Amino acid sequence: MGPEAMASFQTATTAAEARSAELRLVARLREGDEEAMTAIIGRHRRRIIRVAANALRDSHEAEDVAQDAFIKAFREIHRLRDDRAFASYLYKICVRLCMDRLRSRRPEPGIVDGAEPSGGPGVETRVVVERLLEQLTPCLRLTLVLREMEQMSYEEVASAMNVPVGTVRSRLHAARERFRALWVEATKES
Amino acid sequence: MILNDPCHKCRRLRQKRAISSLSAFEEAWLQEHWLACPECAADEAADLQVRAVLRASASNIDASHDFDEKLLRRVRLDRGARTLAYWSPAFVGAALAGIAALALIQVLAFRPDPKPAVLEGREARRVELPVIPDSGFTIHR
Repeated sequence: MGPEAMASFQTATTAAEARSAELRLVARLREGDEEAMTAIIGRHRRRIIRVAANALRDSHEAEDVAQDAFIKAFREIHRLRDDRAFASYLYKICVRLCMDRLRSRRPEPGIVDGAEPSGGPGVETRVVVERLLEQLTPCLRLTLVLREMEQMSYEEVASAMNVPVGTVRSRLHAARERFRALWVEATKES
Repeated sequence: MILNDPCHKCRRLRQKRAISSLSAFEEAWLQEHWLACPECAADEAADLQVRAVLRASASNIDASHDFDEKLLRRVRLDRGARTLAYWSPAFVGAALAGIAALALIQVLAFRPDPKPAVLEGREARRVELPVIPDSGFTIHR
C-alpha cells in the first residue's frame, strides 16, 4: 500500500470511528446522559455558531440561536428516527431558527457608502457583504450563505432547508444574480 | 439571429450550469468561448469574484468561553420546567382529591345526632299547685 493510499485509508478509518462515536453519544443522549450532551455540544458547537453567524451576521444573536438549536434538538430527540442523521437534524433546526429570526427582522434600506468592495476581504468588504445580504430575502440569503460561505453540497443545503435539490439550485441561481447586481452597484458607488 | 449568437448560448449554458449540470462537451464549448470572447470571460470572472468575496467574508467566530456552561444550565432549566409541566396536572388532581377527602372526613366525623338533646333543668315536670278555695269569681280567658 502506497503512502497516499495509506493516508486515505487512515482518513476513512478516522471518519468511520468518528461516526460510530457519534452514534454512541446520540444513543446515550436519548437516555438523558449529560456527559453525552456535553460531548455533542463540543463536537457541533463551532459549526452551528458559524452557520448562525453567517446567516444572521450578529455574533450575539448567533450564540442565542445556537443555544436554542441545541436545546430544541435535545428536547425533541425522540423525533429523530435515525441516529446517524443527528448532525443534519441539528443543522436543520438551526437553519429554521435562523430563518425565523430573519423573517422577523425589518428590512433595512440598502445604503452602502464609504466602502471599498474591490479590495481584499477586509472589514469594509465584510460590512458591504453584510449590508448586501440584508437586501436578499431570507430564503435566498440562507441558500447563498449555506452554499457559498459554509461550502455545503446542494444535497446538504436541501436537507437543511427542507426543500428539493432543484429548488436549492434555482434559489442559488437567483441569489447569486441578485447579489452580483447589488455588488456591481455598490462597486460603482464607491 | 439570437439563436446563433455564441454569447447568448454562453449565457444560456451558464444558467443551465447553475440549475443542473453541463456535459463535458458543453463545458469545453464554454472554455473555448471564453478564450475567444473577452466580454463573456469578464462576466464569468465577475461571478467568480463575487463568490470569492462571499467565501472570504464568511464569519469564523468561535463560541464565547461560557457557552457550554450557559447552554447546560438552560438545558437543566428546560428539563425541570418540562418535568413540572408534565406532573402539574397530577399534582393539581392529587390536591383536589385531598381536599375532597378531608371534607368527607369532616362530614362523617361531625355528623349531627338525630336524637333531640335533652337539657337538664328544662325538663317538663308536674308541679303540685296549692288548691285555692272557691271565691265565687270566674276567670274568663
